[in-house]
Amino acid sequence: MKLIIKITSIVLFSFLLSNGIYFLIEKGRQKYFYHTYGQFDELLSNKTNHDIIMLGSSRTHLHDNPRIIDSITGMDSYNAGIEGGSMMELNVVLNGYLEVHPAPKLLVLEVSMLSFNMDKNEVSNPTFYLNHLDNKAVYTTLNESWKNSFFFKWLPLFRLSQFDDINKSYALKGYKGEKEALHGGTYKGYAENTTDQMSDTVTSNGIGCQWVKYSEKGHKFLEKIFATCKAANVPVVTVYAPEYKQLNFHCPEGKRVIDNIDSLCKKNNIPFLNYLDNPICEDHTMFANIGHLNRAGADKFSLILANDIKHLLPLKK
Amino acid sequence: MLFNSIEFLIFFPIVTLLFYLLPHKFRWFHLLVASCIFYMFFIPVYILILFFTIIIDYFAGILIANAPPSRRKPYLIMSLVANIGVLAVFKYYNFFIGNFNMLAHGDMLPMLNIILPIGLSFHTFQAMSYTIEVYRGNQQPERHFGIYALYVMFYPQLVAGPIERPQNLLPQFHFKHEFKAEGFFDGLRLMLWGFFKKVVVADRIVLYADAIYGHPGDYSNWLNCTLATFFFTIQIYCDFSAYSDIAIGAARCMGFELMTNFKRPYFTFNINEYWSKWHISLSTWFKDYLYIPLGGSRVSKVRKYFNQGFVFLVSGFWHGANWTYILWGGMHGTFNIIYQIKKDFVKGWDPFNTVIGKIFSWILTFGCVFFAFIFFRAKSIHEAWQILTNIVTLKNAQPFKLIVGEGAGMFSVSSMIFSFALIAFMFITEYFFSTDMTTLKNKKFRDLAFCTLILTLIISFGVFQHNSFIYFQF
Repeated sequence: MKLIIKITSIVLFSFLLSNGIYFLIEKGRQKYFYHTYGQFDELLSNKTNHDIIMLGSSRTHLHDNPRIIDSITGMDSYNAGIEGGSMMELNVVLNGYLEVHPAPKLLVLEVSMLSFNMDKNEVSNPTFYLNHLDNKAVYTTLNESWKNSFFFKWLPLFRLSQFDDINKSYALKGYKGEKEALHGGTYKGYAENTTDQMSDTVTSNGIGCQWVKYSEKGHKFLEKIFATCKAANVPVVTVYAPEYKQLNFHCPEGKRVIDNIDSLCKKNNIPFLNYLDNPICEDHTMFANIGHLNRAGADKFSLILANDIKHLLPLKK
Repeated sequence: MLFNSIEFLIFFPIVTLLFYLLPHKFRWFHLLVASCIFYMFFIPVYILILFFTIIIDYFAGILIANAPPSRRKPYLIMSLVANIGVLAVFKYYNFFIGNFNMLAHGDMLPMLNIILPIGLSFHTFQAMSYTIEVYRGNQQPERHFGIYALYVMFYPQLVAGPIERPQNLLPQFHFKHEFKAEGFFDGLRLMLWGFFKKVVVADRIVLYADAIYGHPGDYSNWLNCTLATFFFTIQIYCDFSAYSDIAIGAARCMGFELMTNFKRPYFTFNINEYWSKWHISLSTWFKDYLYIPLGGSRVSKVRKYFNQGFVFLVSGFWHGANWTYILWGGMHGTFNIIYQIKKDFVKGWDPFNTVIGKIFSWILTFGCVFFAFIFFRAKSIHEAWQILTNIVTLKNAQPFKLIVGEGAGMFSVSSMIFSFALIAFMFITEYFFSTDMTTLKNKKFRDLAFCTLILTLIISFGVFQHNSFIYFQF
């Protein structure tokens, strides 16, 4: 009996302490990642409803300026760009959003070539979803890839296993008053990219091509997203944002990825706005790096995108 | 099955509970089945290799014991050939063929496309230990086939030791083990400490060593190379001693006593003492079955030095089929020979017996181990030489990189600070605790607090990416 009491005491005290450590770390991270936590809260909890959701990777997060899109379309938009977001992750966010919000009037789905690479972690920011496991759609979708989601949901201390030292150090930074590096300002999920313009000497020499991989799984998630939107009566526009000199497109698998996106869009009667041919792609002063526009480029692109959405679809106010 | 896995967390309590619930006469069968399940979590079909050597050695033991002294040797040779033959095919064939083809400047002989069976080097050595001891008359043959099979396959020490002797382990399977709460908790405490060393320390610092040794061209600064080698030196100790701790602890929970495999080897003052405290089960195996049969120390000085060098070369080769391991063994052989020469010829005044001398001895010993591990870790001699020269020449062509690796493998400044803190905590604890971690067993509340702290550290700061133990590859 003494042995059982001893072991139970050790386990209980450890669980209590670990829970405490988890909540301390989580609180510190919320202080540091004020923008990202705020963005996930907006999307996955029952907060403000939006007419237009721009969903995608960092190429949405840093490109689609809601101020410009709202002023052109007359709608209320929200930038749901997730840094490093894979197609699987976008599927989680979409399902999670629809679980607690009415269907938006339009989903602008940005498809980045790197989002189809399923060799890397399917969820690049798993720690941000742990607070939203009470969202049924988030839990169900994540559980398909993370079988341990059950433990994460009911025993918060197990979430600690997802925080590496870098993530834990962000908690310390949060308590010290530091904030996540976001370059410039933020507005409704959008973050200004104030990195200066890139050099014009960058050529098509395969930069980043190791990340461009055609993946059946990635394209299956795109089909799932289309199916979800159809079931929820959400009109969709698929967008391929500008790249500097189409460098990713020229990677060995690049054309295959784009062609498949195009054919999936045609199959589902979804407009595909491919901006790889846009003159902005030739202007290095609009880019921070080969895959991301700088602030000036984002503003210009947001204007182009807003006008294309406005004219493409009859939006009801 | 990995110790640091959910499967083991389920497997261990069930096996241990059933062990105590079952009558003694069924316990061997239960443990044998459990050990088979444990082993088959890797590549199931490889259990046939185990069965092959078990059957050969079981009958060899009986035949040796039954045969007149003058006719025993063939059965011993049969057993040794079977065990070494299995090692030769699965572990060393591609090494020899690859080198032969290289010398012949072409693919003269085909390579085999096979995966090394897990724990092969360990259980074959344990099996050979049995037949040799029976041959020497130090051990009666085990006539119960199931018990003999269990001796080879006992799951806590099946894949990475300690390499047990039949005199120690076999009798324990015949003895009825009653549940003793104190011994059970001692086993759990030791396992907990092992898990701490593995998932909190070793699996954390592995990222640094892997980043530098994986891309030596990107991290040629001497400080990066030094830190990587230092972290690897700590990692391999934590990883391997953790496995031994968990194995010994798991066995102790069922009342079995396995031999101690590590006795704080990084707190030693000469290379000879280091080897008396590092991987003790292997070093004593080589001493008893190779060094002493070669003549040991009871020969001329030159022959003694040769014996030592040869044994260390073979020990290096045991670790892996690569010239880097042979070189690692050769380096340790050289260090030991130098130490032996010093012992044999420098008598009387010993400058290392002062405080400063002891500090110097410790640094020298650790330094020898540190530099030798460069060859142990590197993928090739060329890569090892590159890293060694980077360190020794204080190469500074590339700046020191504070952050190494990328993505999930990134090792940041916070990881560095935290790792050093954990390493310091680990060594301070081991300095003050006994090797079986029972120092606090009679101090109720301190014991409770210590175990709570360790379990909290494991849950809160453990790295759970299912990294296998380094010695699994041997």
